[in-house]
Amino acid sequence: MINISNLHFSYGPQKVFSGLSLQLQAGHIYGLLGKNGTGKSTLLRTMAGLLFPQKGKIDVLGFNPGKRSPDFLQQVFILPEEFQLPDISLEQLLKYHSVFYPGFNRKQFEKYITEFEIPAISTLQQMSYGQKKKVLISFCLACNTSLVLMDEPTNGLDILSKSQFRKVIAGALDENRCIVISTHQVKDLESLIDRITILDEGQILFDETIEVIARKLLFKISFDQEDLKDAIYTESSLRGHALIAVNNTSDESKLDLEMLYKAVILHREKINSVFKA
Amino acid sequence: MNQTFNFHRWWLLVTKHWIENRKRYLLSLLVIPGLMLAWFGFILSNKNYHPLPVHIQFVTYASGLFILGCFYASMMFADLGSTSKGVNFLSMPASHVEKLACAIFYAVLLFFIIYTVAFYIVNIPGVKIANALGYERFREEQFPNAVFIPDEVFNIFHFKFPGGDEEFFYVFVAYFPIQSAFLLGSVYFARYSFIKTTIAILLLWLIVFIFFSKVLMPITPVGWRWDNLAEWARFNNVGEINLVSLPRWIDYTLDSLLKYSIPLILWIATYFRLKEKEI
Repeated sequence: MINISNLHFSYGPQKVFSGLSLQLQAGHIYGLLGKNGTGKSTLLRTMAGLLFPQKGKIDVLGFNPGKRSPDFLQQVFILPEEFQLPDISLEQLLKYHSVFYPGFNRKQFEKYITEFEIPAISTLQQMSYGQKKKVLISFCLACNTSLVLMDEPTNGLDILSKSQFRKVIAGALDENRCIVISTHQVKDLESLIDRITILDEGQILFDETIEVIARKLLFKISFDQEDLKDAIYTESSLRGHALIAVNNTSDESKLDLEMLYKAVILHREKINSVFKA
Repeated sequence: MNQTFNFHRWWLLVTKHWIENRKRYLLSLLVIPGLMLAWFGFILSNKNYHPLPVHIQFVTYASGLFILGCFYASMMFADLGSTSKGVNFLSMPASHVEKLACAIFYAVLLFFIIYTVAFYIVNIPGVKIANALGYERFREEQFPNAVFIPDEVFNIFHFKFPGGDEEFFYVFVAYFPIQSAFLLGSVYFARYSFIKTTIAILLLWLIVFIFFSKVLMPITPVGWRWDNLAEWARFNNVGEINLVSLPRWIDYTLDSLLKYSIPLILWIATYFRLKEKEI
């Protein structure tokens, strides 16, 4: 669905990507993780055709995104981190915006609005930031575009809304759709994404599916000093030592995205050696 | 569906733009007659027999058209100055031609019609009141054998400056290119587009002026002056005029290009700037 090869991009003298290559397939929810300023939003905007690569090639659904042709834009919805909704009613939003997206489904939108518990407020401007964001997420998913790009979608959502968000996103995925979520709040994506891509300084540090991660790594809490010796990454807590180790026993463990992220950033070589083996 | 221009998609953009901006536009619609009322009120307070002659109406119309029209055009692509609005604008499933055509429809066509209608809504009763007041003052003076001639309502499509032969048509010839320049400026300059475009136009004007006065004039033979676009003239020693002119068709072509092609060229430039815009 998305093929990026040898992508180069910079803001003036500040390089963001120098030779980034990435392939994304339909039917998956991708988590794009990374520190602030590592190029997550830039990558999403490049995929959406809002920024143009200075070198390299990017193909999204068979289109060159930079041309921003209507057929391409009808199949892509980008939910930016900063957004602004017009001063209109919800009904007007549906009537005058949804017509641009042939796949828009009103029933689906109403279902999401109910799940997010959005009150019947007359205009969008009267809603709180979180409510507006939930309206936009509902609209974005109800447009049924093949590609959904979300930049920090959980920013500004309360704890309950974050769990509603995960539920709604999980239900919105189908085999023809690809959802890319960029965030630095890794906990928000746990049990939602099925592939993790970690960016750092314009490079892909880590790019694996949850299935492979679960097969190769073990996440557990331990008091055993022997476990700590073999661990790739450890963290002390009141409950004991949280650790990531090589999964030699094929045991299943609960993935801790935050720990994995730290392990990749701090012990990149160790992690890579596990996945190369 | 056509990827460059589709009328249905363009119309959807036009209706969406209206729904999103109608409150602002309706308020502006009240501001235009409001400003004119205030201005006419000031004019009518002048104690003369013709407080609102045609040339005052013309100056009022043309000033408002230039100032408000260019200001409005400079806001057409203001969304591109903000990341949050710009992403929404550029990712809206419509072509760049349709987005530009929507802006031209509102800034050039609709603004002109609405401004003109708003002007006449105030101007026609204004002229009637001015004539009535002027007539009252005229009667009070009791001029013997004098006839009061009321002022006419200024017709924007058929107007000549008093004593002159320059049709009001030339106001349009100047207005549309300048307004189109402000439309282009609203894509080029993310912030303070009106001010920056004004400065850019003035700088361009200065460059053209310097080019003519410092480059073209010194190389023109002494005594010769540029009479028309493709015509040079001088008075010879015996007071006759010597004329050097290029073929008539060149003159017509240059004249027509200067009059009508500038807005089109600026719209094409706006299209390419919109196409290459990144957010």
